[in-house]
Amino acid sequence: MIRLLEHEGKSLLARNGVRIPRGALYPAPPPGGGELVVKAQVLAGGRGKAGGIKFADNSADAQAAAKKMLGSALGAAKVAAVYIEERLTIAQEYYLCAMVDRDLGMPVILASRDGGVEIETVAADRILKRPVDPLLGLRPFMLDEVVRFLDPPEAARANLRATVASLYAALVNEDAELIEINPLALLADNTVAAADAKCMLDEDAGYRHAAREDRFDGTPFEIAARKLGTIGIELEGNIAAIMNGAGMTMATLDQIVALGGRVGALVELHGAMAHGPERIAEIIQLVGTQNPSVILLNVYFQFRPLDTIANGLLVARDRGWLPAGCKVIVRFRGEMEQEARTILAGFDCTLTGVFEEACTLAVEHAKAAPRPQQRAAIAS
Amino acid sequence: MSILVDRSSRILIQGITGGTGRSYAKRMIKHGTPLVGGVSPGKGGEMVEGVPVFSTMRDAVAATGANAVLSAVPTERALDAAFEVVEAGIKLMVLYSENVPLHDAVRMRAYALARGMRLLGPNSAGVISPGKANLADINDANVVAGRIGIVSKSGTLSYEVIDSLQRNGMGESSVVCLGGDRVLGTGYTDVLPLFEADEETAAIVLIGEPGGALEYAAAEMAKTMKKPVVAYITAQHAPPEKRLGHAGAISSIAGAPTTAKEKLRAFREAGCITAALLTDIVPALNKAMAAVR
Repeated sequence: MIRLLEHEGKSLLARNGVRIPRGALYPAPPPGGGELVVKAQVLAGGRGKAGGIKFADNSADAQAAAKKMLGSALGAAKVAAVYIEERLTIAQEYYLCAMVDRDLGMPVILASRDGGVEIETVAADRILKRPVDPLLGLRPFMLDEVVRFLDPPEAARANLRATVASLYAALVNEDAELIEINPLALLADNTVAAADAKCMLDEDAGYRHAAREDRFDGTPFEIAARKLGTIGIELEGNIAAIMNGAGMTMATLDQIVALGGRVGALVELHGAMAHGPERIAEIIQLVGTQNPSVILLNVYFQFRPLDTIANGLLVARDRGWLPAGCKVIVRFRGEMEQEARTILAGFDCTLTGVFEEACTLAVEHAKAAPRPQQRAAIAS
Repeated sequence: MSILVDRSSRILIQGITGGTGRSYAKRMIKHGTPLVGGVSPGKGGEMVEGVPVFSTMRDAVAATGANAVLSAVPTERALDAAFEVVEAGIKLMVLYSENVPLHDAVRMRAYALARGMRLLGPNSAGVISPGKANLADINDANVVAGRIGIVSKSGTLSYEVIDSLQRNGMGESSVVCLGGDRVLGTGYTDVLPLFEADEETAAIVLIGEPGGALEYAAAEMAKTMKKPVVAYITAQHAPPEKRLGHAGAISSIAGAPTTAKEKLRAFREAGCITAALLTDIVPALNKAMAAVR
């Protein structure tokens, strides 16, 4: 999932036909001719309460506020960008969202007259949830239903209707998982404009959007793991665990925690196996930066060959990528199991074929190990 | 009996001339899975492992009477591939492709439902009825036929459960993998009634994950079932709002709770015997089977 900042979300909406307030990213000159809003560009919610939104009477004041805001801390986030836009005179705030509802398995339009507050605080009967069958698309009768529910002034109906249609088009055209406009502002001239924008894009569809860059959330370790084609999670503990398959990864974490162990680095190999032993060695190097007392490789392949992993371990050892004193525990089961075990004959590790035994061994060694040292910084 | 696939299935591999497709064909023929052909655009007339290759799904269905497809196509082609399979009148499709765009999953699901095709996936490890037919990435040598039905989102956890059942003298009637993505063609509640009606299946192991509501619907259904359902939900100790490998395995803090703990509680409240750890499944299953007898 790729989360967009407000100004990025707004330009996405604008190119799909949704009206947005005039604005500019500081230090570009803000729009002239009236009061302005200065907005910290951070992904965290509750931005206004944390002091991330300021009002200014003129351009000079707005730029001064933006300068002060840029680089400041807002909750846990650092303000890396500041957006200045015209201050709207709002007659009514609506809530409007298009998203893929995973449980319905199709897109839905969510709409409410109670905009401008967190949607979780709005009563369910004040929110319309309109599913959109993807084989039909957003039909006129569906649009009518949404607009009727929002009940705008007669002169604003056509504008609101067009905005709902544009929002749905944006969801599909941009391969978005969710686009939320809260509030959608009804203005004095009966137009509507997106006063805020929250967008989540589907990273799996990135190949269809040439201009879209990969952007990974998470800690430096987690981002480095993604760049290696794996999915890594950074936790607190002295066991680094590498698994194939999401289910195996989750189950291994559960088993270790249940046995009283602590996992510091959790890695699911994901697409990394296709890149051969070199990549496996790089993954071991990465988890090595966490200074684990134990590296557990818990793998069961029905299709891919285990010798790739075994050879990767040898590469990591030969390059000095295994942390000193770190115990390696390998659970091999599946394709090329005998060959893989033979490759590891001269390698200092404990081998097993059973899930439970591997986890138990990892926890026993981790408990007996001295306290973990400082983690190394990961170059980005 | 068994569910979804058996000896009477007539199976095609979509993408049979690719590396993955060829490996599957070889394994199917070796272990007696009823593979009747394959599809690969422009490769019509070739043979792979002794079965004919067709250029279109329509041609393949017309010539072989196929009713099930294992699809091993590149992710970018998955949507069109699924549409072609549905349009040709196939009744069951396993879509193995990972990282399928969300809106593609939505569209293929809708078309499959509209035309009455059962789609397993995207990102499904497939379905196997041991000794009869294997449309899964599970090696036939690692599975024995028996009386337990397994339905799981995860492929690797299915392997583990199969292993631990086998160590305890149990085998499977069928193993069905739904896939790890957020939007899936088939949910637990589509599969549970098939196991309930299957004479060979004595009990069901349901393997779930955080994220989404499919497990809650399954817990509701389990209340009405005669056969015992042992529910195991993985990631009891997962941090919230972190993606755990599967795109779908992310529990949200906002909205209704979809954590592993909450889901396990739902199954307990539905009267199911539950397992919080992989290693608890066999004891839970023994308990459930003893209660039936």
